[in-house]
Amino acid sequence: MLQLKKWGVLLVLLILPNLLLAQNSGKMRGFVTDEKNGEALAYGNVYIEELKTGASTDENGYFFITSIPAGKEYTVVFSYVGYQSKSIDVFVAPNKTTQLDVELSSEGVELQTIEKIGEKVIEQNATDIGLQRIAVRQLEALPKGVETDVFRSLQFIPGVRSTGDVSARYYVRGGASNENLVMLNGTTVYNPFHAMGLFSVIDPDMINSIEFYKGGYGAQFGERMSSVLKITSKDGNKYNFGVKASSSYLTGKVLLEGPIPDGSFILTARKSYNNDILRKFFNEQNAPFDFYDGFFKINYSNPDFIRDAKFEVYGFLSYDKLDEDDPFKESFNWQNNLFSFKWLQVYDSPLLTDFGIHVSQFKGEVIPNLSLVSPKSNEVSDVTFKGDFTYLFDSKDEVGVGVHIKTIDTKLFLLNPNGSPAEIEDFSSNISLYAKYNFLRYENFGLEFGNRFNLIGLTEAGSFRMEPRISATYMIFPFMKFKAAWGLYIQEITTLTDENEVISLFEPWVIIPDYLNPSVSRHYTAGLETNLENFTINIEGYYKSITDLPALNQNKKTADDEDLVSGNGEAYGAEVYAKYDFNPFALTTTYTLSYAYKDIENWVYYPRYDSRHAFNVILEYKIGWGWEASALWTYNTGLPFTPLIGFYDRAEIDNLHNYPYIIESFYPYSLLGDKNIGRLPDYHRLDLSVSKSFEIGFAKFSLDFSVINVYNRKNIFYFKRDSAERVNMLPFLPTATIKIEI
Amino acid sequence: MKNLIKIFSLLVLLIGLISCEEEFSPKNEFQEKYVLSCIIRADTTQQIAVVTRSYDVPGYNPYSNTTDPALDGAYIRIWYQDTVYTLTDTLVDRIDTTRYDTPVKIYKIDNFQPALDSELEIEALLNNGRRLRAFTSLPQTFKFNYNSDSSIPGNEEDAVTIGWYTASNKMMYLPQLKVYWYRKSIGKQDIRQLEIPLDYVNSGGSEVEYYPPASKTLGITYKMDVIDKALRGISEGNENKEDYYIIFARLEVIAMDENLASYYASTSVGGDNFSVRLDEADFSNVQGGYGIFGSYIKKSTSISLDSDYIRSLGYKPEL
Repeated sequence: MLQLKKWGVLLVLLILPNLLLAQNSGKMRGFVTDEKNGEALAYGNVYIEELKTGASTDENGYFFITSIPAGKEYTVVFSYVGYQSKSIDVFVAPNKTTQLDVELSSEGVELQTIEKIGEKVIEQNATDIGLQRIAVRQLEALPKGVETDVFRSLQFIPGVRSTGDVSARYYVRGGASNENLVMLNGTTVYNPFHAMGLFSVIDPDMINSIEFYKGGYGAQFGERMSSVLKITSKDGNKYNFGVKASSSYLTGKVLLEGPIPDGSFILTARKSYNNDILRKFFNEQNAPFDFYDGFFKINYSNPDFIRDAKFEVYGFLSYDKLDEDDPFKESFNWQNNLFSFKWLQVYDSPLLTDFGIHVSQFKGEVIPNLSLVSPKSNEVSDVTFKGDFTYLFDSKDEVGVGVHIKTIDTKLFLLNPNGSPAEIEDFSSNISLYAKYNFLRYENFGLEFGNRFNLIGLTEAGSFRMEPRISATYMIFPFMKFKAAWGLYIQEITTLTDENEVISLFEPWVIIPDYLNPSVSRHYTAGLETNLENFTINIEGYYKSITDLPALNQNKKTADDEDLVSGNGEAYGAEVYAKYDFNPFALTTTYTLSYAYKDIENWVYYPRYDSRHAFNVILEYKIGWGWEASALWTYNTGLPFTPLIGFYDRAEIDNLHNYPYIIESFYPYSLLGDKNIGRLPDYHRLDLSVSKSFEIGFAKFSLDFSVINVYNRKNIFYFKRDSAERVNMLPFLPTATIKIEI
Repeated sequence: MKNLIKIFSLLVLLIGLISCEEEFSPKNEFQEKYVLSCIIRADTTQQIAVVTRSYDVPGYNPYSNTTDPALDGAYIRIWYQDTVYTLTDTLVDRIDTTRYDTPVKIYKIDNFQPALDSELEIEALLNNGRRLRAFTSLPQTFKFNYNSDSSIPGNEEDAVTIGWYTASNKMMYLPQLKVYWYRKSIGKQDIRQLEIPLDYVNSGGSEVEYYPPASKTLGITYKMDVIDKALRGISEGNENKEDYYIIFARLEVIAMDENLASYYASTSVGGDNFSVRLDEADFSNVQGGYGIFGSYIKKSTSISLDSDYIRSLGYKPEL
């Protein structure tokens, strides 16, 4: 409590001088949107030429500039990569807020390189270490496995790993995949995967902006301790009705959008229709997955109702089922249902409030039919209220405070290997308050410090816990910045993930039981960011420690034994990102050196996703006349595996009714060495993609042809001991997609 | 530009030529381990233990090892109620010689029948001084419910249900319903038994039997149409149904203790078809090595078959 008071006093000391500064100046605010459809242009630039200063738009396209010397006319330049810049002359009156809603046009602008989004050329002192902004166009430019996918594209970011071509699950800086928070419009998505982790449930066509925090993120984010993926959807075309349809080998999808009175809507739907391509992912095994997802969003903004307010209602659902004809094989189904209501309000004062009620449900079930698989089911119901307040001072400093109230109901049913049923049901609430102060008054220095206070935790031990976080940026030279961050992150919910499974269909969520402490991770990050005219290079180093890391109790023998045990984790490494633009080419390379360890029950081992070196090269070529091409080469050193150290004859007791079974009934069984002590061979793969966009009449067409694993590298996925068979990842695989937009 | 494409193409070609498949061995250096397997039957006096060592083979097929890994010369003792019982080295003729052709090396004791719900400890001292130890508790008593069906058909016309009860919730049960029959033309010297499946299911276009798996459930229900079908199958292809005599049915239930249940479940209750588990599930309660020290008991109850029901199938009841 004493610590909380100290933070409060510090905030007041910082805020008071700001209040005294606000004299004889004016302010400017507004939204920057796409002229064609009214979609928000997130992370664009607003620049006041005379003052050589400005601001960036947020994910809503909103900006606010304070401390503008009043009584003068200024030229304000609005720019966004891929759009024509627009200059507007505006008079700033004292103690007034000038509203500037600006629409930018992309007509006549042919990008010579892949869109470079989110470069805050204005806010050079932004405290954003570990943050990566991804444009949907960037996703589409990469060669596609079958479909454009958000999660798969993350794997090319330094510090992010996967365990194979089969899964879009990702691991960030040595953290497990259940430590990654995925949010759609602020709502947590518990199982964001289709078809056993092959693809993301979030259709790229519905995405407006993506922010990905690899670590060191601010106090506004809770719940998970490794990373945050914040996806903001489109609002829908505010001016015209539109239809988009596209088809790949696997799915067909459609998007409808258009205006409604005082707002807009968007509706997307995607459905799988052909499973043949999935055989390539599952070692030619029949994979009868059937899945669909759907999304709608309605936006309403009526000044006669509430001025400067925007209301959003959206819903999202995804459903997967795996149902085989054979009754001796099990069935699966799982679904996400999301619903949210948001109220975004801007004021004449530089205050922005964002209130939302978010409902997220996940249900997963394993139905054994007549197989020996044990039945399992998992349900998560999450209802969260979020209230976030951001206030900008005339000094350019920002303060953010918020309250997040969450209730979670988790139900898990499973049959333990010895046949005992386990029903784990937990209902819990979390009230978190956060406050952060962003010290941005100096052009060459930024400092954000904040604290997240868990008044009530989901677990008993999680109440009255602090999560202090600090992040700083210092511009050493105009082209070079030093960034650093430290933070403490608490996680109170986990999945029962069996680390011995390379592919896992059922990963149920549970609140960390009271016999364990919530997990705590400490992030230490520092890096250099260099931006030259056509060349960008970022270098970051990190160290991450995790205490009270839950792991599945592999020694559980009886129903009375605990399902989880507690351990520790440690990860450290260095990452390099370099990009060189030389029109019409862009070359991006990333390199990661990483080490990850887990210490579970005094046994230290490398987790399944630990890889020492990862290297990616992406070459993009804007050919012109609607043609684009890209090549991606990926290299990773081998993942850990547990080696075979011999065999032994195991007593066969399947036929206990026929005595004396034990005299001769033995069968060979593998004898394994130390956990994950071996390394698989290195992984590398080259993918190519060519796409062409063209128009016929009023319809726009986009064709894409990709080839995965051009030189048919046989990257080993795992070794099947029972059949002594080497199972490789994706072979040479050509794919094609077509998109039609009306 | 052309140069860039040339360099890129050359690079692709080079990578493709040198790196399509890399040799991989999932093996590390062989390590010798020892395995003790002893499963006590609480319904007989003869108990058997086997001690083996681990082995390696040149490839990955363990069946290519044709040298019996069983060890002799071990000193194996069982502690039971303050008495020590010693198992002796014995060679037994091997029936199946497809893999190993030498006699089976076992350790046995002929006069040892521990009581239910009792504690046991076993220790095997190997020739090389290695010691393997394990503990187990025998299953608790279980009894068939007096109100279970005692005849086929049962109280409910479409099913036969037999239940049992016990004070323990840690045991696992494996039931098996058998019907005994013979053909009059061959004679009673050839009495046969038919195991009744729990169901018939369509698998890959053909109908297959589904037998009851081990579980913690304290009872089992057989559907009459399944019993009908199984019994009709006895005389399939033979019009002379009256040559078939049905004697009786018996439900046998094996109750496994906690250790044996875990051992059974570690490989029998498996993962699903799609999850890929790299480290195979194993269970061992043997300290200093691998294997199992567990116990079970088999109990049975007779079930009569209604004469009219047998005649309805065209068969004759053994009166």
